[in-house]
Amino acid sequence: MFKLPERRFRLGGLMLALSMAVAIVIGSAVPSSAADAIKIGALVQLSGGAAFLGPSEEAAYRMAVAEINKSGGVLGKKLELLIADTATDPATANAGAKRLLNQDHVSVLFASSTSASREAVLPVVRQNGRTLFFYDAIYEGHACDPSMFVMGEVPETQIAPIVPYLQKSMGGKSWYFVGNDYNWPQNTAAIAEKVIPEHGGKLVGTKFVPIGTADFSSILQDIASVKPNFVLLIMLPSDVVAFMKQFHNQGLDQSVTAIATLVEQSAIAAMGPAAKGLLIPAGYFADATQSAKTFEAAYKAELGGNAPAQNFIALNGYDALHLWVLAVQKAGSVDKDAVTKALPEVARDGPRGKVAYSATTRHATFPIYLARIDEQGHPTIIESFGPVDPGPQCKF
Amino acid sequence: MVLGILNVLSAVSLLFIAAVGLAVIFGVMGVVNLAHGEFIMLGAYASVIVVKLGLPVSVSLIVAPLAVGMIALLLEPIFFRYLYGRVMESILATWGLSIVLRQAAQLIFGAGYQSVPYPTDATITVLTTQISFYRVLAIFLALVIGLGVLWIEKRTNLGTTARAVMSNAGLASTLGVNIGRIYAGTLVFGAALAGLAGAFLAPLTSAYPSMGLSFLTNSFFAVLVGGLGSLPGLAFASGMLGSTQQIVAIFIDPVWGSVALVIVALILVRWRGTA
Repeated sequence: MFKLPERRFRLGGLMLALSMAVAIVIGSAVPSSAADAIKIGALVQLSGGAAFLGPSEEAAYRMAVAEINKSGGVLGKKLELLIADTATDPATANAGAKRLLNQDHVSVLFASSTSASREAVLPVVRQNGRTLFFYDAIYEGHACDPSMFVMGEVPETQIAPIVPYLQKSMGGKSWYFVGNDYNWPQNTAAIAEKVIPEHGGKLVGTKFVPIGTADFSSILQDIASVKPNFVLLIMLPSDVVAFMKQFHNQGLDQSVTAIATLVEQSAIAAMGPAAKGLLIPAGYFADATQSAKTFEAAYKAELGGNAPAQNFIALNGYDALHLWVLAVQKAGSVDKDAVTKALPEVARDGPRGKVAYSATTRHATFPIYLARIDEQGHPTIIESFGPVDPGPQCKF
Repeated sequence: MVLGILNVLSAVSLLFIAAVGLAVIFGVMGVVNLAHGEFIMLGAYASVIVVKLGLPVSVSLIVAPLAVGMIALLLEPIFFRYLYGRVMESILATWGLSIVLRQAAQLIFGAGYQSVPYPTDATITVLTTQISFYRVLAIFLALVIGLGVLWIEKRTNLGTTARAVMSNAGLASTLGVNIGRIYAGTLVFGAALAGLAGAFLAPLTSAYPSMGLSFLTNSFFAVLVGGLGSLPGLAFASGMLGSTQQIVAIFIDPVWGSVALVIVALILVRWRGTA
């Protein structure tokens, strides 16, 4: 009877010792950085629900660092990139941010993550107080913090330009909204409800579904009966894939145009023939513009042919890192306040076109394109809206 | 109206197809298999492999149950054997297994979405609107699985032995029944049913490592409401839960459909408890 706790205790002790040994081995395996390097940190989603984005997010940061180091680094020093995995989990993101900021003492922190992870990282950034934080992802908009600059598609940049364009070019004014039930789709629905009537259109249905919905029959039945011209799909890629396959299988794609705002190449590939005709408003489509082609060639040359395919979501990190470097060079230091002041004064022509941060909203303005997916799953740009201002996201 | 009924029936069938493997394993062995969703996921990836090999996608309805059954057979002696009849331990251990299987799938197949085409693109026109023929097939498959499992349970020697083990494992073993083999066989059978579910569900969605989670929740509710692995109970529970969810989804919103599912599940469990 009394043996058991003791044995458990010993077992526990053994496990503790073992995990400490493992931690030491892992710790010593990390290469010590050169003294003359500027350390920068990036949180990416290598595992968990958003793991389909992680490799491209990491590669986007690596590509920017490689380009900068090739052209001589920053302030005479090389950049050293430290990557941490958020595991698509706020608690893990928080721990990763603490490690990068408080142990590795990075000069700047980037994050390609969910909004939940961003909110979990922000307290760490505020408490640390010495570094700027860059949030690089498509999201619901209106996240404001004096230490943070944001780059990514928001509802204002994805929905507002396409409504008047599609109503004019394709005809028809009735819209249907299908979203996952959380803040990003809900904020997008609010923008759609505002923008569509402004252009004489009508939102004839708004439905929210739980994340991970596999069966869209009830919504497809409703769409078949109200017959909208356009259906906006504001869902995670897995759910958009399921929707599109069932939408196509039921033949609804003959009469209704689907538009999705969070779909990248792997999701398009997973739709197969069901992707045909899908419209996507976003900042970047591989091989669809001259600047994208130039970038893809350089990217393959730098990271090899097996590098993860780039997409509009991950590329926010690439442009953000480049803009930070330009601001550091302009400010002549990595000091937070100096860089904050210099950031809105720099701009860069990147894979998407001209990218710049606004001083008042702390959000980036970059070009938005509308692409149509063909039978082979390739995007063709049908309209360029130019740089789209995300509007009054924040007031600084 | 006819379309609505067909949609409700097919939603009920999809729920039943997804849940039946969980019910079989829970019923015979008292193992709450939280890796059930991952077995479904593995079935979906079996379809992906079948399609990549250039075979017709319908072949995966045979390959996927075999493949997932094989995986369960390999896991039995090193994992499941230690969980028979231990409900709490099985919840914890199979949850761990589900994490391992998800990460393994991510390492092997990548984190992205993999496509599985529909075996048929045909649609049936009901009055003026069309419904996908595949959804009608779901109703048929659910009936085949339900009647098949019922037949094995009631009409075969194996089923009788399994039921004997279910009601009193100790007594059955004194009568010369090899309990270990019955348990292993049931596990493989339940896993194969999950694999079949994965193969059938894959064309509707796509295969991705975390796809199992959403199927697990609803299957779990259906098994919980249906009672300890009783097949008619599961059919009843799938019917009640699936139709409530679908009808609320049609008239209000799929989010409220999910809320209604939980409420109906609670009422039914409470009602079963007092009756």
